[in-house]
Amino acid sequence: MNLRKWIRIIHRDAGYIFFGMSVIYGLSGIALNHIDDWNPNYIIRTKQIIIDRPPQPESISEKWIIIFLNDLDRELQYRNHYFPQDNLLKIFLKQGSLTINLASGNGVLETIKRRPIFREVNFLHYNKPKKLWTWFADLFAVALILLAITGLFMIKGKKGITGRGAWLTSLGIVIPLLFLIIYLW
Amino acid sequence: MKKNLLGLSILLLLVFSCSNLKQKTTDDNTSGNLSVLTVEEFQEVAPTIVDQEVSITGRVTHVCRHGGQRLFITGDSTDQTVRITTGENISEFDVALEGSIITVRGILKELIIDETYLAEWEMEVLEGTGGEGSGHQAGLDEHQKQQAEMEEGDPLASIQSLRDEIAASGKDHLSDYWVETIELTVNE
Repeated sequence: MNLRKWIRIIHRDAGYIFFGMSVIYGLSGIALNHIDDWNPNYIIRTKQIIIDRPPQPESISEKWIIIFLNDLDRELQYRNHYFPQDNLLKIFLKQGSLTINLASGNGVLETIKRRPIFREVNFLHYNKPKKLWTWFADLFAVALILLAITGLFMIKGKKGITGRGAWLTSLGIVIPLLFLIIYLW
Repeated sequence: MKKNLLGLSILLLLVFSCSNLKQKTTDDNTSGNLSVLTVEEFQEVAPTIVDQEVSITGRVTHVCRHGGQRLFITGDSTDQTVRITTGENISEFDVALEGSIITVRGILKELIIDETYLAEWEMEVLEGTGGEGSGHQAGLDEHQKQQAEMEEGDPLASIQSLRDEIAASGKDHLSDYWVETIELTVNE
C-alpha cells in the first residue's frame, strides 16, 4: 500500500472520529471570540420595576413576598430572601433574583436561563471536566495537526499541494503571520 | 444493527455512571473535623490561617456569570462577603446556587496588594497587555475581575480606589483573602 493511500485512510478515519470534537471546538471558539459581547453560558434578562408604596423592611415576610411575586408575574417562584442593606431586599427566585430598594421603590428583576448547546460546548472547551477529558482533548489537538498535514497530501496534480494547494496553504499561513506582525511583533 | 445498539447502550451507561460519580463528589461531602466558620468569623481569623484548610458557611449572594469560577457568600449579620473560587474537584459553580446556604471546605488564600502589585497592573492596563493569559495577569486575574466589576469595568479606577484604600489603612498593603474550594455542600 503506498504512502498516499495511508494518508487518505488516516485523514478519513481521524476526520470521522473527531467530527464531533471539531464541531464542539468550532462552536465554542466562536462563542469565546465574542465573550465581551454576550454571555454564552446564560441568557440573562433584566427588567426595571417600580413599587408605588414600598413596605417597611420590618413588615416584609415570606408570605408578603409570595403574594407580591404572584401579582408581579405568576411564573416567578420564590426561593428565599435577605436584606443586604437596611433598605435593600434581595429575593432569590427559581428563575433568578429580584432586588428592591425599599426607600425608593425601584427594583431590578433579573431572570437567568441556561443557554443550551453553548454552555455545554464551552464547558468542554475550557476543559472543566479535567482528568480523562484532558487526554481526549490532547488527542484531538494532535489529531488536528495530523489532519492538517495529511490534508496537504490527499490529492496529486494541479489542485494538490504542488499547485493550487500551495497557494491556498500559503494564504492560510500568511494571514495569521500578518496579524502577528501588526499586533504583536 | 443490534451490535450498534449494544455499543450505544454501553456508551450511555458509561456517561451516566460518570454523571452519578460527579454528583456524589459535589453533594455528599462533609466538612470533616474542621469547625465551620461564619463569614463574620472568617474576616477576623483569615490573617492567621493563610494557606491552611478552612471550612466556611454562608448564603450565596452572587455567582460569576461568565464561567462560574467564583461565587460570593455573606453572613446573617454582616454586609461583607467572602469570595470562593473553584478548585481541583469543582470546575464550575452553577448560578442556581444563588440564594442557597452552603458550606465550603477549602484552602484559604491571600493576595497581597501593595504598590508594586498596583504599578505592574497599571502598566499592563496602559500597555493593553493586561488581558487574560499574560504572565503577570495570570496571577492577578481573579482580583482584577472582581475589582473591574466593582468599578464597572474600568481597571484604572479600581487601581486608584485600591491606592486610596491602602493610604487610608495606614499600612503599606491590603490583603485579599478568599477560599479555594475542595468540597462544597449545599445546606438549604
